[in-house]
Amino acid sequence: MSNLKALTVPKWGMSMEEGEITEWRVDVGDEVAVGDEVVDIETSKIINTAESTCNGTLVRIVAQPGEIHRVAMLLGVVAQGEVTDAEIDAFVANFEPDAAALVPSLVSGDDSKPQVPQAVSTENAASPTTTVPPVVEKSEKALSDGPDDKAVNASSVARRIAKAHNINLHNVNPTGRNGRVSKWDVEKAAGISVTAPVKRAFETSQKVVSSLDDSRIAATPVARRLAKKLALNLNDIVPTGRRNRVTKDDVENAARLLSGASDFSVQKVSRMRKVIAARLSEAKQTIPHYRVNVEIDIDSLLAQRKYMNGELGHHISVNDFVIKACASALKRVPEVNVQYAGDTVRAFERADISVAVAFDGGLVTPVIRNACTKSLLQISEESRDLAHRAHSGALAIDELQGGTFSVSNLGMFGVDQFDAIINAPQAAILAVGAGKEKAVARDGKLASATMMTVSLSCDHRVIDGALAAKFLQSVKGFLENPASMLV
Amino acid sequence: MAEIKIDKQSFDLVVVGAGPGGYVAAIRAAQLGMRVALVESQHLGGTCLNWGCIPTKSLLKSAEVYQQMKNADDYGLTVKEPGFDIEKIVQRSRSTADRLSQGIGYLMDKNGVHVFEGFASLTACDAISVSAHGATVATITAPHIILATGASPKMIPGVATDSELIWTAREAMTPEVVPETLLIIGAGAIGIEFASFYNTFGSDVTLLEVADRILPQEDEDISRLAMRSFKRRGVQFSLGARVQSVEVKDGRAHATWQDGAGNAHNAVFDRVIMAAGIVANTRGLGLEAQGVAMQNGQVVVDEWSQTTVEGIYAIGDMTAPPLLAHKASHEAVTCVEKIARTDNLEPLDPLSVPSCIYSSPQIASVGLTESQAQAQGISVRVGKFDLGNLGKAQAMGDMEGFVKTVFDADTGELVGAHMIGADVTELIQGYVIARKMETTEEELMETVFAHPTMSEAMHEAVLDAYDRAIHH
Repeated sequence: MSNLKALTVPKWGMSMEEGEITEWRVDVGDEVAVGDEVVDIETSKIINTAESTCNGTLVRIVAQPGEIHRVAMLLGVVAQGEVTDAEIDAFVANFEPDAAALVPSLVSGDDSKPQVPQAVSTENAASPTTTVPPVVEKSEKALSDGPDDKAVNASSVARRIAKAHNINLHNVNPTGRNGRVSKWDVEKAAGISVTAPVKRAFETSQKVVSSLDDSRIAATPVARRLAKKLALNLNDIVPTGRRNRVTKDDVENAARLLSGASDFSVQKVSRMRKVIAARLSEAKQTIPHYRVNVEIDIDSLLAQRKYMNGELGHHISVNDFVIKACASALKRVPEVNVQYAGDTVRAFERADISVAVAFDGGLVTPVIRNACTKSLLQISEESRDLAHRAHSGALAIDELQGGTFSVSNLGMFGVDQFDAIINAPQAAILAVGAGKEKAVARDGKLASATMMTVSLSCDHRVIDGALAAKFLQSVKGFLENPASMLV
Repeated sequence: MAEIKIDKQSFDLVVVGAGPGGYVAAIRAAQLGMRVALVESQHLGGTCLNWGCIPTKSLLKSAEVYQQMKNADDYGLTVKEPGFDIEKIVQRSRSTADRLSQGIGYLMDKNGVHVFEGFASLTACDAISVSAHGATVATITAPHIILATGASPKMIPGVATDSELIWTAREAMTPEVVPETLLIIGAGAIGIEFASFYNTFGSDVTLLEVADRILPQEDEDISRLAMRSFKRRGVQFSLGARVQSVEVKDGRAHATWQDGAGNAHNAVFDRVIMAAGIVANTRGLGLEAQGVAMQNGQVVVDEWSQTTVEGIYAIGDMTAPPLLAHKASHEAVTCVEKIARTDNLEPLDPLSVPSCIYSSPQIASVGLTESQAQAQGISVRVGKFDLGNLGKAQAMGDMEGFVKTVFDADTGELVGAHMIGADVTELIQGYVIARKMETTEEELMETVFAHPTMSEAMHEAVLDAYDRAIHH
């Protein structure tokens, strides 16, 4: 059976343990060669495409889309020459994951460093969690019309379905990674039902419900019992009963509204969203958060930046200054550069700053390592590169791990001020608002200044209030006197 | 020559029919400050007070006391030759009805309701004319008109109309003699009550029912026990019966029918009571001309009793079941309050309307039967408790009957309750309140029931639904 080869789940980065099969790019019967992209796999951090590690014909797909498989487990079987089904069955049955599974087995190249495909487009974040843009209206022309579609970038499965439905791929709106036509796109174009079925009334999953305590909400006993059974929170239900009691009818109406009678669709939660949900819930519930705010005058900073970007031709953002200031402040107040670990506290030498990057459907926090030793320009270039690749889903797992402090900036959206949830296991995160021109009193006179409010969320188990204030003063000092960061 | 004087008046509200729907509507409207007219062609109080609920309860009380006299020995009492005078029994019943009807007149006066005597007919969507003895005596206009004309006994094709021998409820409650043999067509509430009454006073009663069980509206267990109880007292039944003819010959009624098994029956009776249902009184009201829609002989209304014509409302037996006096009264209040734009109104929930039958044994129920609940896909928990297990029932010598509860297993909602036995018509209200308050079995279990009372069976029936009955 030496003519049968296994395709297995690759390990992208140290922390990867498992991945969800998103879509096969090849189908059984297709020829594959070493380095061919064969299957998309989504991990908790990124979506990536596994490449073939051997030449031959794909004879069996073992891991189906939607399934989650551990690293080194069997994805599919590739054959060289003729094989029988029985041989393949035996091969699958006898398959044992490679003991040396820690080596990234499927990724080609000189595998010392995990490689990720280069993004062609940074416009669309192409994970399945993204909102699919509406299909371009093409009703005036039949789906089968159009020039030869061989050159259209499409997955093999998509191509096969398109052929079966006599659909020219030019007429299909591509939403796959890198502008590729996916199976989903073709199914949508063909009118094959691809959306999740509308939930039956009273089905309890996928509800949008509050988690507030509802024991004090007035409700009839039947209503209370029914709400519990349907996993509804009485806080979410409009009461119509006497003395504002929630009645059985009210609960049933609410259940109907939430179950599809009203205008909403049910979408599967992506692995990334699940991870975000689990991690933030845990952080918010287990870490005793408190916040400290300070207003920072950034006129001097803006003047410096104007010179750097204008005369010197750089592209330095206010956030780059903030990252640099935080790194510098962590050096001056290293007691904040810590993590609480039960019986121990980890104190870090280096200031590795995680920068929150949001994109449609998700949020990642790539790390700028050793930020206090890097120049503003280096930080600027690195953060831009990370943000770009975050948008295209092309970050390696190791780029997303190991920060010691986080910065989250919503200033570009005009937000005055906000509080962030700590990015566990870190102990502090700085939430940055927009710089706004304000009237300030200076030497007894009114003056105008551009003020930016930052809010530091701290883990009170390791960072006390006075320490947080000291750190924030340091950040403020660096930002109000940018030249001091050069020292 | 006397001039015909036509009374022309306008009101805020006109109510047509002075039964338990109409007179209650009139009083409530007057309470809310409306100028109200009430039109009635016969007696204030309608069928309920004059020819239904109240006079029959008087008759049935006589029957109950008579039965107890006959059972006096069971209680260690001696009664010499229990006897009865049907004329006096009827007289008592009539005087009770008359007294109550006069009471309604007093209430109308007290509330300033203007009463017109005569037949009402819609002449526009906001106007009616009242006629008496073939002449128009009044024309009334009002922006709101509530129709509450009730219903009349349904006649069956092939059955002769002869009020001497073939009675409706009205004749049946004013007998001059107790017939030796009596045929009752229809084993619903009315038929069962008359069967109970005449059986007690010695009539040989035969009951025909078109359905495959008596009291088809009630829970199957109730039908079964009621049938057994009546059979034991000598009442005969024919189920699935289709009446072919009832003819009057030589002063007696000759009836032919086919039973559910296909057997033909042919029998002669002294009297026949028609109790095969009722039909809405809509003739002569001018509904069609005003565009008021009807369906299956009933006036079509929305949840607030509004007909298909704005400003015209219909309540009570003219509309959809349940056809019960208290349903009409409740609709009356809600309808008037809706007209007065009262806040926080709730439409009537038919499943929270109790139903009572005053036969011996009595029957009372609310909500869904066990099989109705199952047909609706509710997973049920059913409790049943025999009255015979109660100390009070044994002390009273009333051990026949049971209380049955039907709970939604998922929510604990009491979806139905069904009772048969002594005084259960007075007990059912406890469950009606429970339903209205949307209590679950927990609150009912935690409720303290007085000992010794028949109501303990209500507690036990709840406990039994969760396998916790104490005196089982």
